[in-house]
Amino acid sequence: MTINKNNYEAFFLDYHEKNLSPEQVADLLLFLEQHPQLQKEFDAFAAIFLSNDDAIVFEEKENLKKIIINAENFNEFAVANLEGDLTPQEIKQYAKFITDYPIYKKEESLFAKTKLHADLSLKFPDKQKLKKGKARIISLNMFYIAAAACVLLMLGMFFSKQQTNSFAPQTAEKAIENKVEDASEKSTASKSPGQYPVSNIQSASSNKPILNSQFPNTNSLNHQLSNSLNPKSEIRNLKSDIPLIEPKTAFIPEESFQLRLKSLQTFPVYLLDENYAISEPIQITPATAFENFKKDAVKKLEKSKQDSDENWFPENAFNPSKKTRLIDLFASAIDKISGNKVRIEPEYNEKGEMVSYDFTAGAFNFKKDLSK
Amino acid sequence: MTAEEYNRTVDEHADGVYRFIVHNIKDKDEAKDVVQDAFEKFWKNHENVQFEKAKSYLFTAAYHTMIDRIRRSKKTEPMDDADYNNHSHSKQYSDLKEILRDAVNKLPEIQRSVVLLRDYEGYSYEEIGEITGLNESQVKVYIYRARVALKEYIGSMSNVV
Repeated sequence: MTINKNNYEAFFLDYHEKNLSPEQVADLLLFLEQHPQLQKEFDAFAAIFLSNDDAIVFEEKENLKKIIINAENFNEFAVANLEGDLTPQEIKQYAKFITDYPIYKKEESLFAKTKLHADLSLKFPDKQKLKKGKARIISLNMFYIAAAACVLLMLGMFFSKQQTNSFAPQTAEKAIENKVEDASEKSTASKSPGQYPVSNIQSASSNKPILNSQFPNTNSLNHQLSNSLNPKSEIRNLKSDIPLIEPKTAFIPEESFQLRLKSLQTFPVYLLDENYAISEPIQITPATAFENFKKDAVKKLEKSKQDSDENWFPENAFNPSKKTRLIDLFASAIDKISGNKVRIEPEYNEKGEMVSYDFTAGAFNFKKDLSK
Repeated sequence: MTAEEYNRTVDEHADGVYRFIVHNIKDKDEAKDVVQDAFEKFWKNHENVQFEKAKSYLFTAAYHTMIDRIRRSKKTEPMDDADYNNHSHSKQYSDLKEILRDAVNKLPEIQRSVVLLRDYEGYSYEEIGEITGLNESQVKVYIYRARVALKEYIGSMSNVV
């Protein structure tokens, strides 16, 4: 069939659909040259064909595929199976794979062994310590108040100890010895033998303590102490200045004491021999016991008189550096609470009076002049 | 959460947290300290924590306390895979439990933590992620690597037992 005016549309269509033979294409092109008015119509045929756009692809194609278990991805399936992450269909697939390839049976069993089991015998040892009572949170302010209370308590204890130490002997043993010595001295001085020291017992005859009448002037004693606290002051001969009398000791006449003893009943006592062995108990009257104690006291008294003055003088009667120690203690307490380095340095004049003190806490410093 | 609920949490979870930590750092005294620190943090914040969330809160606090301590003591290990190629066969094992314990100890710290949380406490990937600060995919990857490493160690040691 040759191209002509009656069938050229068919040729045009076949040309665009690539259905023409090379001879027919040559005939078509010759026809278009002979009839240029049809060129426009020929070009219009090209526009009605849609070309396929290869650039557009479905990107998640891989996700649509079903994963087939193989040697490369077996571990992933095995772990997922162990973790319970497989779908029912995947579990079937996994089971089938293992059945089909028994070589993976061992691998599967090894994976199963990697599951850890807690050792329930291992327990936290101090569980009770972790528990709390009712919720009660101590605020920081409370902490500071508590700390301040501690400091005050420490200072109180310090003063109390200082006062006690100034008058009382250090140990109980020393206290007993001093009572005996005091009794001896008092009896000698007052020329009234037969008076014995009894702690915290009031006078049986006068029914009141005779403490004040026999003690030196306490104001004078305080004056001596306050002067002596100055570390720059001369250290006095304390042994001669400060009398060694236990303030709480009172004295009663022996007659009254003996009367009271006789009214008491006998009681068993265990006596110690020279080697401090306990012998059998013996029944003894309070009066006899008192006589025994008296003899012991006299023996101790005689022995103590042979000792040197240093031996019976209480070591802690007075320590001139105590005020310095008090300041140090106070400074260290503030230091601990505030976390800053604290220093208090007193200054004294020639008379030994404190004239100023220098207070330093970290970067903070001030000087207080007491003379003004 | 009330103080009573807090004390119940101590009874219910102190052992679990302790086991988790002691298997991670292998030092009982240090593990005790970590647990105590975790409970202290928990107590300070107990009024803001719901009882249902207590376990997760505790494990999170304990985990981070442990990590801090490990880092402070410069005991950190690289977060990559365990090297099982150089393991020695000189050690005598009596049972699988012993091999497994040894294998777990050889895991990198992060892998060990996730696998312990998974197996001991049965936490989900998401919960493990919350505790360790990882995302779910990272948790999965670390668990996968840990399992494969453990399997290979057990496989190589199975002939020794």
